Amino acid sequence: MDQYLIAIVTFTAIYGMIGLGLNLQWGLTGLVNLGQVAFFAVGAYASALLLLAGAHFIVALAAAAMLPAALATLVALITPRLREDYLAIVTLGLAEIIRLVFLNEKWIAGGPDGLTGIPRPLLGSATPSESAWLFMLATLAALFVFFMINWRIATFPIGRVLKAIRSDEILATSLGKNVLRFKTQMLAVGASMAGIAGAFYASYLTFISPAMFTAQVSLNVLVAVLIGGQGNALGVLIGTAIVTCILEGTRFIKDYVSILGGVELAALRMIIIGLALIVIVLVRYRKASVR
Amino acid sequence: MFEIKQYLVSGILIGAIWMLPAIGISLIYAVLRIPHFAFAEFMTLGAYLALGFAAATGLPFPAIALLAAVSCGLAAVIMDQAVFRPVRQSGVLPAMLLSLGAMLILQNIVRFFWGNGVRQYRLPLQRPLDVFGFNITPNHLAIILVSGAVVFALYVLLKWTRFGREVRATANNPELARVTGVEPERVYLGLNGVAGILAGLGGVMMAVYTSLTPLVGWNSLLPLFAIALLGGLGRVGGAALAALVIGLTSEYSLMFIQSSYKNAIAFVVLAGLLILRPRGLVAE
Repeated sequence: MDQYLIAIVTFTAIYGMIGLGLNLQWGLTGLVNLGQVAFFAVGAYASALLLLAGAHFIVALAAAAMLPAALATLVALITPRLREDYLAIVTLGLAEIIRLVFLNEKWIAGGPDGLTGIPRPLLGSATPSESAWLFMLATLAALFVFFMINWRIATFPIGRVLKAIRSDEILATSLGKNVLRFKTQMLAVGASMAGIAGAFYASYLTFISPAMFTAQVSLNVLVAVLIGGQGNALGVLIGTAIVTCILEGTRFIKDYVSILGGVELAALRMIIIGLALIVIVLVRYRKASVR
Repeated sequence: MFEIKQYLVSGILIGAIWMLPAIGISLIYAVLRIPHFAFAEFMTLGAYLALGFAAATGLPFPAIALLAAVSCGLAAVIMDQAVFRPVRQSGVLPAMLLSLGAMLILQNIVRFFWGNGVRQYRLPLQRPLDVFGFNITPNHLAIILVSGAVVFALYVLLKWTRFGREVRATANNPELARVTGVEPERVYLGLNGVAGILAGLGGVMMAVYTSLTPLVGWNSLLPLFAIALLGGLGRVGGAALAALVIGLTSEYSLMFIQSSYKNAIAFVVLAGLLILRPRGLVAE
């Protein structure tokens, strides 16, 4: 299999994991998390630091799942009733602060240069191309597990509670459901998924730096979930694939439009993502009744 | 001692710059009920438009700043009519998402045309003046004075004019405002124009004070929202005061933390506010 294609599939699967996490939060529970990259980054750094210290990949994965969940719980604590506009501001802000911490704390995170030489499991026992192939399979396996979790949560009794919360929070409360606890749990589980995605990301690339964890990641994932239709796990995966196509496909424009340099092309890519976001929202919500 | 005095000057200066876009965001939040992230990026657009106008025309810098600010106002109105008007009745979420999309597009339009590099306006170098024992350059003094004048004018506009009364009425109770004959769309139109002008002007000032980068707006986002929430949504005076508080806090924090953590101060204020006053943030 072509190395480029393997790389694309691996990245799409990693993005898909972040997207499925956001799908739990936003699609199934109605929590608009604009800082999903924060959990992704914490997972990546936690796992990278542990792996660099010689820990087993399983330990690194566990940390990459637990630390983001703890951070998500903190977010829930400082956001009153997790109201959507406050949650949006807090998550957007938190992601920026987390990035600043990784950028500035050289002693723990390597500063602007980030962390290098992160071990990738399976790398020693195989040739580089075999290792990439195996890693892609491992990533897809994790993606499949996340997909099943999404599907189960949507169809099992808890899914009905979440649906009730999403459509009428006051009603759900009056039925004796602890709405805030459900919401906090879903925020935490979704954050864990992004964190585990971060662990895969760090190990796949074998280096990470703060520049990889800008708000752009959150927005890309947001657009992916939006394309897929919030709450639809399969749709989220399709949305992720489409966003990856936009991000990667525009690289080929360069061959045809030679006047555009790298900076212009990168900007154009983001403008396309922004336009896609606007068009989808307008198509879906125009003149719709109050949700 | 010198440091303590200079931080006072730079704190007031940064506060004076932040207060303009923050007031716009605060008014939009109070009236349209959405955290409108895109207005931070109108700062970036304003700053770079001024750079473009300066290159294209030979106008004096204040005229260029005004031109850039008015262009941002126009752009904000057009954006609101084209993109935000269709989802007016659809709740907070769609408008918030649209605002993110607009933020992304505005920032990257700037990157597309002007690149990622750091730029400066061609302003003559100035010797600092001695004002009551404080060192400040004429440009920086002008920023503080212009900002103060604009805030005063806004205060008068909102307090004493028909438009101002309509804005305040819509912020307090949109339904009641409507039945008493206020045309909400006219309020939204005017408000977007005002907020766009404020953001554009703030962006030019920020670029004069620091430099031009595509991140001018993004780096101001957290302070702007912290100021808008701390001042009380929809309150011009409150936002102005909050801007000074956050400006001074951020500058004096430099005595204890690295400058790159300045934004963290704004976030701590924001989080603290949400914990302490979960309900009391909207204008009474």
